[in-house]
Order: sequence, then C-alpha cells, then structure tokens
Amino acid sequence: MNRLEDYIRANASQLDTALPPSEAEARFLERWEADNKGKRRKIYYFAFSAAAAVALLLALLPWNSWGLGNDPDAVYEHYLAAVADAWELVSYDEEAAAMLGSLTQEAIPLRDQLPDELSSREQAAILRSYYGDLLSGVDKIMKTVKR
Amino acid sequence: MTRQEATAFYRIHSVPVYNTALRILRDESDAAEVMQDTLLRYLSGGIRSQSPAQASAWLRTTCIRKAIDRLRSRKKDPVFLDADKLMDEEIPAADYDEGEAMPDMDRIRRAMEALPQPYSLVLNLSLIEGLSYGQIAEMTGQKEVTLRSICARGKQKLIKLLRNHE
Repeated sequence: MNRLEDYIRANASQLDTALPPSEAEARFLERWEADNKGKRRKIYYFAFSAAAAVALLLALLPWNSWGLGNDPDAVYEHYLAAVADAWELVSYDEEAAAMLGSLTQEAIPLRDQLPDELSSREQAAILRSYYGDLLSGVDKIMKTVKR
Repeated sequence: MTRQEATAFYRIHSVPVYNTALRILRDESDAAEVMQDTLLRYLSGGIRSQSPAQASAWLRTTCIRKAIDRLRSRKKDPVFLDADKLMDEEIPAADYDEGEAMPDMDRIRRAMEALPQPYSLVLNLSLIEGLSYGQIAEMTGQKEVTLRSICARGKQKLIKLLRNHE
C-alpha cells in the first residue's frame, strides 16, 4: 500500500486539526510561573549559600591578612562579627542554632581572661588560635543548616 | 523568559504537540497534560538556543515518549498484541490503484482512530510521526519484527475501513 502510505506521509500535517482544551493555556502559564518561582528560589538559596560560604572562608583566613595585626581587640571583634553573621543564617534552624550557641557562648570571654602581662602580640596570637578553631567549628555547623 | 514569551511559545507549539499526544492517547485530558509537560520540560531544560526546526523535533520526540509512558501506565488494555496472535491473522494485500481517488485526510484520521490501539499506535508513529521501526522499537520496547507485522496488518485494516466507508 505504498500509494496510501506516501499520501498519508505527504499530508500528515493536515491531521493536526484538534485544538487543546480552552483552559489549557491558562493552566500551562500557571504551571510555568510556579516552575519559575521554584527556580528563582533555588537561585536565591544558591547565591545566599555561596555568599555565606565566602564570608566564612574569609573569616577563617589567617587574620593578619585582614590587617588585624597584633591587636587582640581587633581579633576578638572580627570573631564576634563572624559569629553574628552565622547567627543570622541559623535563625530558622533550631538544631544548628543550638549547636552554634553551645560552641560560641563563653561565660567569660577568653579575651577578658588573658593576663595583662602578655604582650599585645602574644594575646593576639592566643586569640587567633582559639577563635580560629571555634570558627572552623562554626563553618562545619553552617554546612548542616537546613534551608 | 517573560510571561508574554511563554504565551507566544505555547501558541506556536501547543497544537502540533497536542495532536501528537491525542493521536497516541485518544483522550483529550491526558493529551493536554502530556502537551503541557512536554512544553514545560523544554522551557525548564535550558535548551532554548535550538533552531525552531530542532525545537519542534525535540518537542515531538519528547511528547511521543511521554504519551507512550502514559499509555502504558493506564493498563486498561495491553498496548501491544501478542506477536503470535498477530501471525495467526490473515492479511489480504491491498492498496489504492494508480489513478484511484485517495480518501481525504479527515476520513483517514477517523479510520485511524477506529483501528485497535496497537495498529493505530504503530501506524501513527510510522506514517504520521515519521519514525523508523528502530526508533519505535526503542521507544516501545517491542521487537522490530513485531512492529513490522503490526504495521503491515494495520495498513490492511486501515484500507479495509476506508473502502467500507466509500
């Protein structure tokens, strides 16, 4: 039946006569918008996570490269700022917030316990080492944060 | 992509994709769902740099795959007949003679719709969608020899139906 076969093949486009149901276009646009919102949310989460990771990475760099030098107060303030940023990120994750609290809360901050006999340089070195370790712990907690 | 662009995309492609799905599924609601799934898949796939012809080809192939999957998931009737049953059926050879008037496409469409599913499906994929037996075999999981047999019998049944209504 090559004649009929060839005829059907040649005129196949004439078979596309049915129109989709009238409500299909509105439904399609509704679904398209829902997909787009989901995709935008994913992009925001990605940008947010990337920014947080960069901030923490920067916070963990050798602090001298931040120009903090041998100033113990600057080292301590830098640590506090990094912890404050972390608190913002965990505000909606109770488990991570609890871990962050137990890691970073100090009854008496180490900064206040350092004897005055130590030079600024020695104090800054001790604080960098101690708070640097704490910030690595903070970084690990941030990786568990549920979004 | 803006809402306006999405609407324009829908208006260009919805009719051919819907018709492809409808021919396979024979159900308006299922065909509309498959059509929407296909168009949305294209838009969300980041493959919009293709030419219009490539886009149409991609949409058609994806729509066929989705429609066949949906057809299988219905499980009302077996999509394909047993190959042995097919071999038992007698097929009289027939075609339209040279110079004989061909039926109009609307009549052919109605006759195709009246064919049992396996014949209608394979004839659709082969004659209308232009797929090779190899492609149909890959999409349906059937052997090429079975598909050729279904197609040959389907063509004869189609001619019989068309002639009966002349």
